[in-house]
Amino acid sequence: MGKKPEMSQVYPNEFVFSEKGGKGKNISTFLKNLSLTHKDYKEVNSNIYGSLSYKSSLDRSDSQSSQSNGGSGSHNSRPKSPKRSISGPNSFLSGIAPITSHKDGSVSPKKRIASLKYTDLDDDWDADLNTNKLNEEKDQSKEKFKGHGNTMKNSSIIVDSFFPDLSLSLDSPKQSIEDEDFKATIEQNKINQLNVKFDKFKAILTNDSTINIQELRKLSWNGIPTNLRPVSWQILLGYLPTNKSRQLSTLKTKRQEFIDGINATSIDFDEDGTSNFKDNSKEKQLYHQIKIDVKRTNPTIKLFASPQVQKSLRKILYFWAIRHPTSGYVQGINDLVTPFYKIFLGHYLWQLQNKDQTQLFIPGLMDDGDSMEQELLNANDLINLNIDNIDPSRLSERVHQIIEADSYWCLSKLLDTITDNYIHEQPGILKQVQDLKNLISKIDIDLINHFNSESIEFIQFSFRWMNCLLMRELSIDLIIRMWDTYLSENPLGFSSFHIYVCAAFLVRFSPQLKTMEFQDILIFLQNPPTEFWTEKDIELMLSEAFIWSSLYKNASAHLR
Amino acid sequence: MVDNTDDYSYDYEYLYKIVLIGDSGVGKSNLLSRFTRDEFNLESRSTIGVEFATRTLEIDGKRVKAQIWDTAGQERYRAITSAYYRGAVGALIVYDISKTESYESVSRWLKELKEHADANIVIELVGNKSDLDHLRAVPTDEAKNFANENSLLFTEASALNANNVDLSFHQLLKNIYEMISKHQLDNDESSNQGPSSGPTISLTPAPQEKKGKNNSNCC
Ligand SMILES: Nc1nc2c(ncn2[C@@H]2O[C@H](COP(=O)(O)OP(=O)(O)OP(=O)(O)O)[C@@H](O)[C@H]2O)c(=O)[nH]1
Ligand SMILES: [Mg+2]
Repeated sequence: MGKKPEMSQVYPNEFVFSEKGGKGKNISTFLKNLSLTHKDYKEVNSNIYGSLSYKSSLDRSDSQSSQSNGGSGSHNSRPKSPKRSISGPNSFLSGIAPITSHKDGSVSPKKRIASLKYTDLDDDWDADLNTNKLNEEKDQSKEKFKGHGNTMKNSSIIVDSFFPDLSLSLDSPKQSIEDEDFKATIEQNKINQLNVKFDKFKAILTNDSTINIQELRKLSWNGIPTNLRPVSWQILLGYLPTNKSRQLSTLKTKRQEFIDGINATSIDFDEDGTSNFKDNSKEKQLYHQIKIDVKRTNPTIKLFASPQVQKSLRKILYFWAIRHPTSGYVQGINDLVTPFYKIFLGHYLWQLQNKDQTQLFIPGLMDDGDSMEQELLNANDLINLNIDNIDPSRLSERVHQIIEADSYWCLSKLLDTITDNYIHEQPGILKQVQDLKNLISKIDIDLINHFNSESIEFIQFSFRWMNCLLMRELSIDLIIRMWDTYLSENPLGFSSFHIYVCAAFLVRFSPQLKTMEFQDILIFLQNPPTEFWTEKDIELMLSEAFIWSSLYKNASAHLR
Repeated sequence: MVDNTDDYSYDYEYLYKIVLIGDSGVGKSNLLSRFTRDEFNLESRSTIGVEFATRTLEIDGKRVKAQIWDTAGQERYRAITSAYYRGAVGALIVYDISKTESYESVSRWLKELKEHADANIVIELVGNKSDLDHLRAVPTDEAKNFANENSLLFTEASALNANNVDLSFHQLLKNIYEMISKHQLDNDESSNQGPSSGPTISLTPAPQEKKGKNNSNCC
């Protein structure tokens, strides 16, 4: 576990409350008061929550989360574990220690409110906005929060960061380590919890007419069950409409748009498809760059070494680049597409193996008329097929196109939230690097001092963390887990929340780094020792990021 | 030449900062890994921003540590990477002998150095992937002439089969060493530092003070 924030390093004027429950009550007041002085806090807090929900740290024990969001919290209770209370600045601080140090403490879900800044984009659309006339009647249950373009005016807020549910990810209490029975119970509990979790997602996803995206976000913070992840991500990104009756038609349209767009390029996307281009043309250069990068994308993963998959990646990246000329293709974007591609391809296999689960399918993937699909369905090894062993050449061109299209649109959605990262001079990244430094100076001033004395600049090691969203530092499966949370935080997950995650990542190595010199620090951070990391490490990091994001919101100017 | 597997801090007398530049995909990162770790990777990842490695070797009986900054080749990163040119005493401009475009970019890279690097930086032109002779698109003589005209050192090398890789770096470092020694002789009386600390050139974008001190400790 990383270093805990030290109280003495916290500036009293920069508190922002972490708050529980609240149900978005009086949010505009809250937003106005994002930056509070010490003496304001009581007043503001009671504005937001009324007097009943505010408790000081001293009576934490009785402030149970009766009004916190049930969501993922309700199944994680181990009755004796300390629950955190709602608190003003003082108590929030003192509340940190129990959270970060009591590994067995389950924690009630928390809400956070963040203001939203969003830029209009060339390629901006939202599945839930393309409503045709028939469906346009008021959809009460749908909470718009994405703020994509014109949604902004109707919904000035986005709600929610949901406090990490540590109970799933953390080990059994120390005192019981020898107790085999207890261990078995813990194991069993974990399995039960996973089942409960699956059922909760399933309940949301199979709800008759409209999927409650808020509920989905809440649950997703703590990780999405593997088999439900692809469909959940598509919804969280605003690609797959929440309105069931529009899902298939929307996806059909978007997929066709992609296929038509690809055809319009009249490029064959072959390995050495340079014959398609005029000499020295911009397009030729672009294609060359994409071609050499696709070869160097996740080179150690078999799936991405497949010629079919590489061709798919070339199509996706090329098409994205020509549709987004202000940024164009930037190295690192090739990394970002791989989680989508991987899970969508895996989802197709899962569909083949679970034909009875249609209500959990991404629509329009399977097709009776697809002879290669029939072959797969009849194959002896169908049940053993998975993303790690599938030979992608067994999938039809039709399926490849769908996976490409879905990956393309989801990549676009993701990149829409971080456009400044890839335009000329990459201002988004430079700002993030600066934000990270500011944040670390509040969290771990000793590390900053050490870096200063060694002449380490943040840009030297964290540029890549921003440019590739830590994909060079962590395995793809851990990244996928991380994105569950990022997407729950959408659209700020990949921008401002990511900075807090980077801070947690850096601070985790702080003790080692403080003993190193310039050169060793850079070499260490170029290749940080994460090869044995598990989801637990990620979840711990996300939890820490969450705490800091609640504490130091003001450190990050995105949230101004 | 001395291997640097035991690269103890300050176990060197001179520290030279070198930058590796050139178009994306020409093999900069592999040249570096070949030189510093004797590794080649057909499936290396693209470099994002800047990466860094060192190797200490012996020149004229002196231990010289090369601190090499490997930069991303893509145009978009130019703003980031050019900041690293400052303080570099040497540069390798790499092209791919099987890719005309990468050779045509060399003059643009030279211009980058003129704009952002120190004026007396020593530059070497390296035609990489010499193992791909059957795909050669850039004649050796043409590149050699260009190098002569522009006062650049020149080699063809292959990160893949290691041919000429050590030589390229060695040649560059030796020239830097000689240039600096000569420069130092020329400026002997104007220098307020002892002769031994004079040739030590730094380093990172802004750490002159600290590293300067460290280096003089060991000299
Ligand atoms: N045949 C051959 N291939 C090489 C050689 N050096 C590098 N390559 C290959 O060329 C490709 C690009 O090599 P990198 O070292 O990643 O290129 P780079 O110049 O660092 O590229 P960027 O980081 O994008 O700027 C890789 O697939 C390497 O395996 C070589 O000497 N011979
Ligand atoms: Mg490289």
